Amino acid sequence: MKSDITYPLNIGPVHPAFKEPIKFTFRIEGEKVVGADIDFGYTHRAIERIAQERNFIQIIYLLERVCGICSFSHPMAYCLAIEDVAGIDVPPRARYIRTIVGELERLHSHLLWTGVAAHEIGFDTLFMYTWNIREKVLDCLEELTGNRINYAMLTIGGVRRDITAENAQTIHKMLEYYEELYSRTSEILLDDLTLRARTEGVGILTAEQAERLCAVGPTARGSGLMKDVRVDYPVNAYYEMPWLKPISPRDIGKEPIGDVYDRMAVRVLEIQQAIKIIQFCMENLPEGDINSGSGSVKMINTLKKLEGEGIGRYEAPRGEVCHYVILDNQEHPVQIKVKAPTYSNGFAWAPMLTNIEIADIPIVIASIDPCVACADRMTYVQTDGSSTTISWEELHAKSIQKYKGARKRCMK
Amino acid sequence: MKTEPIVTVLQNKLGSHIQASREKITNYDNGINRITLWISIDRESFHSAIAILKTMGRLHISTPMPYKEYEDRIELIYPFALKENDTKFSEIMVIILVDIPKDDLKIRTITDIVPGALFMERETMEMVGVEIEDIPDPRRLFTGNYLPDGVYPLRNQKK
Repeated sequence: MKSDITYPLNIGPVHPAFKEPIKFTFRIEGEKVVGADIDFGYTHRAIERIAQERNFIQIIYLLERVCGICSFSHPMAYCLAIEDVAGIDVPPRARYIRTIVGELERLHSHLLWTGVAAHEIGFDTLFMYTWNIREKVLDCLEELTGNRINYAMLTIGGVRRDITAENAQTIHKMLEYYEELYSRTSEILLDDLTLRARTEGVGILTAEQAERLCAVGPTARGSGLMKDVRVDYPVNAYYEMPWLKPISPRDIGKEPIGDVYDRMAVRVLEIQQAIKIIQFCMENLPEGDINSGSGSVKMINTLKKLEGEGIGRYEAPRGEVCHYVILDNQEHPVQIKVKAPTYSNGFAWAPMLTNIEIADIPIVIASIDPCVACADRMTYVQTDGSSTTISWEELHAKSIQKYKGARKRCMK
Repeated sequence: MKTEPIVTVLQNKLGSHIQASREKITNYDNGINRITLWISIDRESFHSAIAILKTMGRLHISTPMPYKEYEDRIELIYPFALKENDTKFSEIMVIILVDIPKDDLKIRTITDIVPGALFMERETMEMVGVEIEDIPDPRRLFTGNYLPDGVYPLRNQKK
C-alpha cells in the first residue's frame, strides 16, 4: 500500500561514509528518497583567513592540509596562481616532475575510491584487494618525496626534489606492477555482475544537470561532459601530450547516462590513463633545473613587491581545484580563495539522491568521491515528534543485504 | 577562443555599462595560450552581461567569489571559465568585476543563469555581508546560526 507520509531522515554530521563531517537530511517515502538537503560547515577551519597571516612559502604547506588525499593538488593550484601573478617560468623538468607526482596522486586516490565504493556496497574482498595494491604507489611516493601523503614537493617556481636514477627505477617497477594488475582489476570493477547490479541506473546525474550545476571531474565526465582542466587549460606538462583526452564511458563502448557505474568506469579508465601519462613523462623527462633558482627568502622579497591577481587551476583526482590570489605589496596575499572539487560537486548530490532507495544512499554519496568526513549515527524523525535512532552498522547492513540479494539474482 | 569578440559583443549590447577590460595572455609552445580576461561592469548590467556570456559557450563558475575591499566600495569578482567548443586548451578565464558601494551592499543573484553559483553566493552573503537579492536559498553555508548578525568573518579593512 502506498503511503503519503514522508519522513525526514538525518545522516551526519559525523558519518563513516565521509572523510569529513557533513549533514544530510533526506525526505523519505517508505524506502524511497524523495528529496535531499545538504548542510556544510562542520569542518570549516578558516584556512583562507589563516593564509592571510602567513608568508607566501608557508602557505604552500598550509594548503597541503586542506585535504589529505589531494595534498598535491591544492598547493599545485596555489603555486600556479602565484606564478601567474609574478610571471615566473617553471623549468621543463620541474613541469614534468609535477605531472608525475600529480598522476601518482591520482592513481592512489582512484584506488582508494574503488576500495571505499566496494566497502559501501558490502564487497569487502574488493575493498581489501584495492587497498592492498594501493600500497605500491604509496611506497613509491614515499621514496620519491619522503611521505605517503603531504609530500611537500612543491615550491613556487618548481619542485623541491629531483627524480634520481634510483627513483626512476622504482617508478618503472611500480608501473610494471600496475600494468600487470590492470586488466584483472578493471575486469572485476567493470564486469562483475553484482557490482553492476548495484551501480547501474543508480544515482543518475544527466549531462544537462551536470553542466547547469557546474559539476567537475569524474562526476561531470561520468555524465558525458568532456570537461577536464588538463585538456581544457594549459597546465604543467599535459599540453605536451597530443594524445591526451578527457575520459568518458564511451571509451568502453557505453553511452553515458551519469549513473554510479559511469562514474566508476571513468575512474577505472583514469587509472590506466595515469599509468600512461607517467610512462610518457619518464620517457621524455628533460634534463635541467628543477626550480627557478630563487631561495625562499628571495622569492618572498620578490612577491611582496608585487600587485595583481592570479588564477591557478588544476585537475585533482576528484575534479577541478581552482585558487584565486590577490597580491598587494604585502608579505602575504591579501586574499586567497580556494575551491575544492566537492564544493562544485556537492550541489549535484541533490538530483543524484532523488528517487533512490535508502540502501543505495552510501554508494551514491560516495560516488562523487566526497571530501567531507564521517559519522556513526542516523535518526529517523517521525512526523508525530517521536524519533528512532539506528546505527551506521544497521544502514551498512541494509546495503550489504541488498548486495547479497543482487548476488543471488546474478548467480541464478 | 579569442577575447576580442567577447568584449566587442558586450560593448555593442551594453555600451558604456562596460567600464573597462584588460587581458593577460601567457604563451606556451605549439601555439597554446593561457588567456585571462577581466571586464569591469556596473551593477545594473552585470546580470545581462553574464546572460550574454552564457550564450557564447559553456560557462562554468571556477572559484567562490573573491572580493576587494576599498574605503567606500567593495569590488566583487566573478571568476568564470568559458569554453566555446571541445577544442583542446581553448578554455579562457573571464573575470567579471562589479563595484558596489559600501552603504548599499546588494547585488542580484546569478543563479537564474548559472544555478551552480548558489553555494558561492551563499558563502559571499555570510562571509562578506553582501546581500544577494532573489537568491533561491538564503541560508548560511558554512557558519552556524550562533554567529551574531552583522559579523562577517572574511571582511577585512585591507585594500
